[in-house]
Amino acid sequence: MSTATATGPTRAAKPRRKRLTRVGMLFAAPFLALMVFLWGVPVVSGFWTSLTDTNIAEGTGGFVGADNYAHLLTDPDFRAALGNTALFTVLNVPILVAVGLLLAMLLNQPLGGRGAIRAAFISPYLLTGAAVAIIWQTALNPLGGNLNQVLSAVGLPEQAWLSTPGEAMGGVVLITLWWRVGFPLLVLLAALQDIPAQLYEAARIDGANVWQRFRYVTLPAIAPVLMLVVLLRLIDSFKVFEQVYLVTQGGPAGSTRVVLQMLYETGFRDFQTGYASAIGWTLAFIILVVTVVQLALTRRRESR
Amino acid sequence: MVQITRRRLLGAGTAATAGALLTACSSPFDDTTAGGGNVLEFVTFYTGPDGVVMQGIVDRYNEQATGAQIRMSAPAYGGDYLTKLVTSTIAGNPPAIMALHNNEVPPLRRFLHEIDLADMGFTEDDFVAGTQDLGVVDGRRLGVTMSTGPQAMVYNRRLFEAAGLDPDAPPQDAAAFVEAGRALREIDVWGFIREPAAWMPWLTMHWQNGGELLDGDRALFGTDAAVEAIEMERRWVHEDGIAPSQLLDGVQMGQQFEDEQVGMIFIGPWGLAGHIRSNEERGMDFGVAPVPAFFDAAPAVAASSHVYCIPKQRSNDDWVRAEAAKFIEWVVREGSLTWAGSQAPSFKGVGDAVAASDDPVVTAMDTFIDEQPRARYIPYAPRWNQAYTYLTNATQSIVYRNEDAKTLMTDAAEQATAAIRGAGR
Repeated sequence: MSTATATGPTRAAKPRRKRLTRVGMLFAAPFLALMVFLWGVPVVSGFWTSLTDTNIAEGTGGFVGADNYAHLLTDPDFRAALGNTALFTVLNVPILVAVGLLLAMLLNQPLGGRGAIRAAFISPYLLTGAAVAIIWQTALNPLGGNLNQVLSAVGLPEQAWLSTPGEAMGGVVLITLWWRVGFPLLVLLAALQDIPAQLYEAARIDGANVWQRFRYVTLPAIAPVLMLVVLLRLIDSFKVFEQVYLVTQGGPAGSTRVVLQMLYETGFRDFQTGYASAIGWTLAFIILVVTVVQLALTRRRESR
Repeated sequence: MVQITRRRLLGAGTAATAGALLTACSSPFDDTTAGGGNVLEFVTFYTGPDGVVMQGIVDRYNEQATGAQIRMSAPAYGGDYLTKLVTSTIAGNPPAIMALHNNEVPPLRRFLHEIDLADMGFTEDDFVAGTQDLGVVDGRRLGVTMSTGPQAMVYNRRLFEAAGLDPDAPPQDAAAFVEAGRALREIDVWGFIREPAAWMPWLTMHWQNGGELLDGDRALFGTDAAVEAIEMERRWVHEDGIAPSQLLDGVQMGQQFEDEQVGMIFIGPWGLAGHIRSNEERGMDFGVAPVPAFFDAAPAVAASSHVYCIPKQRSNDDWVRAEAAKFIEWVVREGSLTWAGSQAPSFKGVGDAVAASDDPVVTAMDTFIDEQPRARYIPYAPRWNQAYTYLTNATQSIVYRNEDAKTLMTDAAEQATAAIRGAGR
């Protein structure tokens, strides 16, 4: 029996399509239900909580509208935490992406032991935050830690590492670099390996030097992937928590206390879940704005 | 051959999902009272050698117990400990007995049973004066204080001798402390290393100087007493040169002591067993002495506290409450002597036995026990953890970075006051 004509499906085909759609929805229903339960409900509930002054230990709380958000604008703790988070992002993202790109370019060469070198840089990415914290607390111990032993052995002055505000943030950036460089390395390496060799040959024939080949061949070819890596690292940097909470606990003198630590402490140490939810939603909004700006800049660049 | 149709596949998937969900709702391995068993969870913060000692006490209880069996656990202590207890209680699945510090009892007050010492066969006179007040909130006794942790000074007797100091005469005041520190520097070790927070030794010094932490909801970190205390610490680092300017955490501080790189540190009794073990393994000879009287306004030493509380249960509450009370009574009466190998027991009934013990840790605990009458405890205030963070930040900046004490301590007091007053947010 024919179910289609030159003008489209017959009327007999429509009930079958409806049936197939219903069956498809039934198959997807468990997953959709889980999504609503595990993601949708908490998101809506969290936003509602941010409009209250709930304290889960006291069992108190009522609707306060946008009071929490208004207070955040003038909260010196939040401003300090946001400033620390921004500082970490500004330091971490360029360094991480640049080092990742350099390592990717190095590993894109026909080097002996390439696999072992690649594994060495990628394997820290598999570690948990707790393991990373233990390793680096030992390494950065200002009295006799591994790094200071190395510095001392080569005649350089030992550093206070995590003991002073400036050095503590530097320490956190260093820890993050070691821990997270594997991701940009892998992704950029894959992008580099996709660049046709003929482009480099053509550039060499045209007399381009190393820097010119990098600027006019490599960078444009990997630009979309590079922008994606930058965007993902930006989002990750705004969400920094483990290496700060476990290594410096936000110190010394609050110099490394970031927004997520403030959120955690407000909600789960002080039990002010209403205010903590507002912090979370504000951070999400900031990340969204940064992401939109980044994407807009990328699209404008591509349209040129 | 069975034909797999879409309907059969969907049915199988639904059944599997339902089975997984139903399994997740209850575990066949749950032997606590919530799961129909007779095991009571006893959650503590005894994560070090004191955990081993308390586990031994619990094992002894279980051997002779005819009702519930006790299972002790010790999640890592820190800001998360109270969080776990609060969230498990709100979720309706609290442990049967929980160990809390005195300032952790008030946030949990609506979840705890009231306790009558008389029901356990005790009176307040059975305990070191003032220790049982630590479990009283709004006039209701919500816990029994098993022990406290006053600070004391441990010093390396061998380094003292090498520095020309009398190892049997540790410093007892500020001047002698600095003198000892300087002598130790002469033999190329640190005189003293502090813990990074304000807990040791600023709190003790502040109270010794007649200061208070709070006046209602107002933080008093900016008073002259508070500033003088932190100024003394600052001088140790930047003028007397007896303490390092690098921030070390408690573990690193203890390691420096065991590596004989520092002559004097302050510890709570929970660190004693570890140092005594080090003594035996490495041949280091250390002594225990009261914290010097850095100021003479008031005898004081900062102390932690261990208050045992009984949370309300969703099911079998009466039975759990009775069994938990039985356990606490037994631990206090029969376990305090053993517990003196880790903390300073508040039960007076073991005083003579502690003095006569041949266990070196128990004997050394005598110093900590003797400190209990002058022990001071951190009070409760809403958002105290945040307020304390401001205090810690200020003291760290002053001690490690030589910044202005009066300005920073005053700022910290203002921030802490705002945090405490803003706790209604």
